[in-house]
Amino acid sequence: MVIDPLVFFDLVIALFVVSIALTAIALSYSQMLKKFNAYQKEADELMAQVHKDGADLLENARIKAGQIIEDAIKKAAEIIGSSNNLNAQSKKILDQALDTLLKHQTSYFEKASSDFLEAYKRELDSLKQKNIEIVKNVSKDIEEDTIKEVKDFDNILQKETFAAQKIVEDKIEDEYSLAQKNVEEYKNEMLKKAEEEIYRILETVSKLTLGKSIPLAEHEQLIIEALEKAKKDGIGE
Amino acid sequence: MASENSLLQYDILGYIKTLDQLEDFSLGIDNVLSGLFTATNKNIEEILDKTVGKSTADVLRKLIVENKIDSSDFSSLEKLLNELKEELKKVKVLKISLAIDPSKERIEHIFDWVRENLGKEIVLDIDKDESILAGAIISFNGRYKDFSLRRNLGEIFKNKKAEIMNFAK
Repeated sequence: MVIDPLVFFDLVIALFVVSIALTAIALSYSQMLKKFNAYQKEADELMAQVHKDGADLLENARIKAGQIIEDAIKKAAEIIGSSNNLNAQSKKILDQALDTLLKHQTSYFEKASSDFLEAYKRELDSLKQKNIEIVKNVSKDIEEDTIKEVKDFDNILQKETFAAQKIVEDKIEDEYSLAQKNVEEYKNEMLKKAEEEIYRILETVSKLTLGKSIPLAEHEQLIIEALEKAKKDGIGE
Repeated sequence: MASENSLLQYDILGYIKTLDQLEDFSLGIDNVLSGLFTATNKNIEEILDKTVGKSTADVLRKLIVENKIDSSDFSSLEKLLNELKEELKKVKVLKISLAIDPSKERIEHIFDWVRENLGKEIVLDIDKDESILAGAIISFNGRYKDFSLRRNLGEIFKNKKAEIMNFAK
């Protein structure tokens, strides 16, 4: 296979261009790496400086805090010492005041109790007397009320007895009137029945007497008369 | 042969005065008609002798003679008797209640009066009811008439009750 020289020449030029470009890139990368290392070093230094400053600051703060706590403990001890003194004095004054108050109150309560007991006794006696009076009055009232109620009951009983007697009398009177009326009605009814019976007997006897007493010729005549009346009444029409 | 109205023409109802007689006569006709179809009967005379009573037989003989029916002419007799039956169905009944048992003469008397005054094709249905005392209760043509002495007395007692009761007291 034979390569065209023109193509071969083009390929050589292209390879040359590529190699130049790669070289340029490698140089550029090398410079950038150098810059980066310089920056990294600077940053590490800055960080070390910052760490050192922070540690110094913490140390200073710890020293100051220790001083402040120490001062505070001292002041507290002073205050406790002075307050203990004050407490002892106050306790003494308070004990004295309490003692005085106790004495005063004791005498006051003794007197008050005595007065109260006296008053209570008086009230109790009074109450007792009143109760005796009330009991006396109550029994008297009961007696009076009982007598009054018995009297009232007696009156009511008397009235009721009279009323019942009146009711019974009226009832008897009504029943008697009703019975009289019933008897009268029954009497009239029986009289009416008797009259009806008499009338019926009369009618029957009359009929029987008449019927038996009619001769045969008369019967025949009556039959013909009946036929003639029937004809006249239009029975044949 | 028979005319339009055999009853009137031959005055059969001159013989039949009551409902009982009419029913007997009708029954007699049925018996004769039955006899006509009995093979053993040789002539009409024999049938009449065997099937009906004397009075009915006499009436029928008279009819047969007057209609000139031969003794062996069963079909003419059958026709005549059937016509007669139809005529008898038209007869009217006058029901009369009496207080007495009427004698034969009295029935004839009443019957004559009825024929003369109310019509010829009428028979009597007489019954006895002593409670009516006298007079008669008559039913005819769907009408009812009470002309009994019982009713008259009842009215008298009703109208004059007070007077009668005063008298009774």
